[in-house]
Amino acid sequence: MKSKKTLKAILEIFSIFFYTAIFTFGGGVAMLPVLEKIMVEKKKYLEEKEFLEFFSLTQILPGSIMCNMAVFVGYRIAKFLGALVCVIAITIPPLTIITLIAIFYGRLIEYPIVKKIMLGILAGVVGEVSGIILNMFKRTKFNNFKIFLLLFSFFLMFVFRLNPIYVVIIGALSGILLGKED
Amino acid sequence: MLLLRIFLEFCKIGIISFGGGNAVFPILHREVVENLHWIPEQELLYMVSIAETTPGPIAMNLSTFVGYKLYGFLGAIVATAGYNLLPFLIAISVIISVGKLKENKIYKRFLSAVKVVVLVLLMRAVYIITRGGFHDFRPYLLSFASLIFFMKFNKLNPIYLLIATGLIGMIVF
Repeated sequence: MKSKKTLKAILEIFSIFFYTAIFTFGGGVAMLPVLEKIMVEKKKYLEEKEFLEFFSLTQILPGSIMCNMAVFVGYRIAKFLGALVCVIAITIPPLTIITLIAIFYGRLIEYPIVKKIMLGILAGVVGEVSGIILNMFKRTKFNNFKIFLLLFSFFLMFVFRLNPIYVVIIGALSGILLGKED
Repeated sequence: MLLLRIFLEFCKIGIISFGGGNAVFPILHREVVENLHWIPEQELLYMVSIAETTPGPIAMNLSTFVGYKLYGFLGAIVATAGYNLLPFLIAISVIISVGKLKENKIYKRFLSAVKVVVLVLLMRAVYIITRGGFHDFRPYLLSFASLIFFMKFNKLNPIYLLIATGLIGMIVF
């Protein structure tokens, strides 16, 4: 009986994450209120506190917020299988949409109007990312190490043109060896 | 074998993906445009505009697109799976050990430093997009207006901003 119940729960969380993945535009943070409403308020799979704890964890790990959230909630409900099912559920809709766009990309891009819209969106992205940079500057508590690391990473990436992967690794190692916790 | 290379390449990008899609973009750009020549820069830039306005994580969407370009539907699946694999395994290990990572002193130092590098990665993202995609002053003006809007309406989902700038672009560019 118990396994039947688990199967039902897995099917349900699959459809919840699938639905959420289709209807949330604007990245992982936009997904949270939708997911919270279903998971915490309606279905009561987990408590508010736990949900927020999961969210804060997603932000300190590599990978997208959406996938990490799917892993945590899925694991909490049905262990490893639950996590796997939720990640698959959240991957299928974007994978399908992007593949469809990729198929028609060659034809789409021939229309000047499509290029104009894309350039407009890119201009918006530049504005948005600049805003994120400003907000991060305001929030970061700079000490001597961080100021040095900021300038050094900037030099490595822009002047020395080192592959950003190595800059992340160098920054991470120097943080472990020389940095302080926030 | 190309499929295996695609898989390993996106595993590599996935494990280093801190700070969200916009911060992963310069890493992806360096690898797939500059080093491997898998996709022209202009195409990746256009794809950024699509990845930001369709459902799904930005960097995952870019991975799917690059994978498709290289090896069709199978390539799309392999690239997406590669990008998700290591973060998935890490997240699973973390949830099994129930969040002890957050109190770990070494991890805190690691994260505090990586956040600083993410700041520079975001600057690099802005630099790559403006250098490769902006050919006169008008997109810069629109970016500046978006910045002001973004700072004023911090709580609003940025998708509305991007839809608005897309429509403005359609009219004025």
